Amino acid sequence: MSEIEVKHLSKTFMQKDLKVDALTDISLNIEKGDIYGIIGMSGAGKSTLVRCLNFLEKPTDGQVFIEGKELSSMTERQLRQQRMKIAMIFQNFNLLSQKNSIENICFPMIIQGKTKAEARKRAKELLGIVGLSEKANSYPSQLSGGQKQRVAIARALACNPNILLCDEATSALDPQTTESILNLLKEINEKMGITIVIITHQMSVIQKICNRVAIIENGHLVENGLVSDIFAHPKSHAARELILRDAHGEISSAAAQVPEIKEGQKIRIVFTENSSFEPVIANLILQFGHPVNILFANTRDVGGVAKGEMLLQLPDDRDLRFRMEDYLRERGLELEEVDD
Amino acid sequence: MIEILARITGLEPQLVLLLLKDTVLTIYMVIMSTLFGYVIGLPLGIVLNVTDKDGIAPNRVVYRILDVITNIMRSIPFIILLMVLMPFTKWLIGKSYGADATIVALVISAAPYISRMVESSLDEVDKGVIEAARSMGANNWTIIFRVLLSEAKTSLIVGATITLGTVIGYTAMAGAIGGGGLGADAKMYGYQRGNMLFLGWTIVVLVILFQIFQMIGMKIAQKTDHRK
Repeated sequence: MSEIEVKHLSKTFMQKDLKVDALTDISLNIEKGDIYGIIGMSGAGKSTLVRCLNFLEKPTDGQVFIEGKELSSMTERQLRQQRMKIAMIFQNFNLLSQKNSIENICFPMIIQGKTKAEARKRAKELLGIVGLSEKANSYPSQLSGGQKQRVAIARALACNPNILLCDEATSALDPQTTESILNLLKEINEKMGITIVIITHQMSVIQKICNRVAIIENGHLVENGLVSDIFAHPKSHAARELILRDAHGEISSAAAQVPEIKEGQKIRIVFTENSSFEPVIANLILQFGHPVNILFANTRDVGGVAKGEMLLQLPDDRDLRFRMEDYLRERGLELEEVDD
Repeated sequence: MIEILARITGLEPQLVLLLLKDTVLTIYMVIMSTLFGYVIGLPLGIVLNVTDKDGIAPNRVVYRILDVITNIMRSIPFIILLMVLMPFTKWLIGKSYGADATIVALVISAAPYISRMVESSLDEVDKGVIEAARSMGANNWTIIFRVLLSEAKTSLIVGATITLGTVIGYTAMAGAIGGGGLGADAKMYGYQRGNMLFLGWTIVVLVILFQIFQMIGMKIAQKTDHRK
């Protein structure tokens, strides 16, 4: 049984007299222990989707099952009970501004009916887990973004959830803080066995910690599966764009000085572990006696596995190009053509 | 004591006594009216906020009814409301003049004003925080008492301070048509007898009262504010 199962979910908003389809026929399964990424450009509907997982938004159509129990069949009371087991963190942290760290972490436990003493004891433990013991009496306004998110994570863990939903949880943070928050999430996933769902628009976040990913575009699920598979051969246009956007960001600054060769087809190659022993590109050039232009190369950590990635510009000659592509494929490389 | 004050102010001792006695009476009226105003206005403001279309329990019918009533009450000038309410006041407390009668009118006039203040204070609460509470399984009561009122605390206290100031002005007005307190004194002993000195001193006392309320209110508001 999947931890979370979404079946044919659709969500329509009414804006004035206009019907807006935020989500259309989404189906996906999230297994226990997954760190599941949901990625899309802004406005793709991913925030709505994650809110359908705890019914903060009620789907117009379709079903959501949490550990086999369907949410729409629940009474309001049961739903509130269920939500205590589905924690959530947010882009803007959403801490109570008039309460200090400890009181913020106590809040969900007080809602759950725990005594104040019990709640405070657990809150102190949790502050230790997120590494903020010395900030127990600080108010959110006295904390940095990363620290606020740590308090929010501690608050989310307070009621021992089975699932943690992260709505753009690192989007307001700088790269270093993002890294440390992602590490913390990974640790939580591994040590406590909490299933994590991450909503983001950054491929780097997905690569860093997710094992599975769903790509949402204009309210449709266009592709989903293992992160390593999708990174190696993205099938949908949206996936390719999201992967390349990261790479392109880095190219454009490097390419600024070099006059770009305006010829030839660009291809993207992905090296897996076993293909990196042979000096493939060097051999390719020697074999054909014609240079290729390396536009970009990078190694990325995808779910703990190092993957090489390279953008090549092949010669304009069609025949030569096809032969080069075949040569690369024969050596077990995955490649795809790229049009800017 | 009285004689010293009389020498300082240049007023007759019995007028000084009157001024002191009615200052206390005015403070009593202001505090009681505001207090009872909140007894009615606070829940009303909460209901207005909660049932508004962006509230946590939207209810168009309830909102519209309260909205209209509040607007009507707020649009009646206080001095007219005071006269209209006289039969009601007489029925409620047995007389239609004096400090207690003024309190009745002040409460009825202040309550809708307070409810609007409360409504807008609660509106300032970050919607994200409310959503976070909902995601934790909080019900609406919990959200009202532990999120809305608690997060809006500072703004509510500032609102109460402004209300106190407004009510001081209203007590003086009520005094002029049969209520007690400094307003009545200013009219009877100052204005009608042409005692400009006394009139001046009532103003001084009212200004001081206003400043004290303002200062205490703002101090408390600052103390409770952890947002910055």
